[in-house]
Amino acid sequence: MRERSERVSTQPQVSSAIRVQSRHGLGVLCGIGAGVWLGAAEAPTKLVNTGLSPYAISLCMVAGVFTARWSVPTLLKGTRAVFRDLRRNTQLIPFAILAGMLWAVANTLTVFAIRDVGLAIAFPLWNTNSLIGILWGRLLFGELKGASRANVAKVVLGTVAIVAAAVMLGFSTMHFGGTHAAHAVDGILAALGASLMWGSMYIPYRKAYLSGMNPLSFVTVFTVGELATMLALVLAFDGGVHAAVFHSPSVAPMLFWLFLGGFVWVVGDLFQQYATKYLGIGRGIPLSNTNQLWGLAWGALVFGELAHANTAHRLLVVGGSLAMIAGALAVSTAVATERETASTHEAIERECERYGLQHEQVVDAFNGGAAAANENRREWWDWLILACAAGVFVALGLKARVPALAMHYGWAAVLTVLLVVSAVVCAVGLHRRTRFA
Amino acid sequence: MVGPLEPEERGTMKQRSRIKAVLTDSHFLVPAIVFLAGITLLIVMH
Repeated sequence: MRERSERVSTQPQVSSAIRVQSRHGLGVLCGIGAGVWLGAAEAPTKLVNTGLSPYAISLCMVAGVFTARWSVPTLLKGTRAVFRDLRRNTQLIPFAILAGMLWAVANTLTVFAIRDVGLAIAFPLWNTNSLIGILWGRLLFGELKGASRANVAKVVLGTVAIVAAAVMLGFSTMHFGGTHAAHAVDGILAALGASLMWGSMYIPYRKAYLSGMNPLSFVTVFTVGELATMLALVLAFDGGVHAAVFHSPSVAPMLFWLFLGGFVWVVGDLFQQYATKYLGIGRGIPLSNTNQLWGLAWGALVFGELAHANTAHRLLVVGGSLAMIAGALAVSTAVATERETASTHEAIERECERYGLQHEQVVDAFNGGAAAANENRREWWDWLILACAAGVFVALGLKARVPALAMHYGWAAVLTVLLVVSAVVCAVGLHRRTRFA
Repeated sequence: MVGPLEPEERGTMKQRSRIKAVLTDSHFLVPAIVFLAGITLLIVMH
């Protein structure tokens, strides 16, 4: 009898543990998928050689991101559900816009950092954004609070390994030019600023998901903040309305590649959003930061960037890749304990109390529950929006010019297949367990 | 003597308190301060 009652009392704990494991597994899958897609996002931009300023290239890419948001995400979840979600969570709209603004300014700061201290110094500095993310996750959302020592060690050491690996992989493709001593302080400040901004950008991400918002809704507003800020930066710093991006005839043939980069980035960012939702900032950012490995794979295998690499460079690639895989494994295996999950629920309660949200509804949405999943109906205008977004890509594709660049098409095909497979695996996982909730 | 609030007034009050809740939320203030610092840095560097 006693045995039976014990069994009954442990059942909810067991089912809760299974739910945590399932959420963790889904988050890890999305984090790795984000790395694959975000790493590939730069590949199309390598085909662009217009002599345009970095501001202009960023603006075109962000315009592609904005257009792409209305393609696949609209197919996954209709606009009616997205706007209902936004109406229910109006308090999160400023957070999503702010996140987009942070991305745009951070991206621009990296341009200045590269100009002043070179990629070799700037890159490692802004790659510390995952450590900033862990800090904010702990301070603002109680992540890793109550976690076992083993889990804290896995997350922190795994993240450090991923940062170190990213630095090693970055170094393997760098060409060390002259020093930039005259503006060294400016460059270092810009790189650190970019790190701080990209690390802080995840605060709104996590906030939104603790409040039960759907990642597809968040991305919708995020892209508006991103595009508006990038446009403002071009107008302010790149020649105003006379900027070359608005008038140069060389822009049109290259737009397709930048829009394609934007499309790949949106898919990667969506997986990153789901990783943040299901894993938290501390685990989600390091996993999606494995994008460096995939970026290198595209650069080295498709564009032959390591063709003239010496032994030291090749060793950096092997060492960096192994360190990144080890770091990702460490973070992936740090499943949250009951005590850590309890602190996540404290963070959800804070949101509910502060903004008068319905606790049960928020918890259901946070867990990707049934109520949140049953809002996937698409209307006729969704198909129209989808057709328009696809039409923009087709129109740009017809004008696109393939630059004369040595490319290994066999490797491009292999990596594209990997890209598609990773997206299908993540999408099937998200659809089966949460219906993209 | 103040009478009960009309539904529209209640709506406005709710909206106002939400805006206040956002503007005093550390989850908003921290990234907002970081953004201001970043944009200042960008302007100085330009």
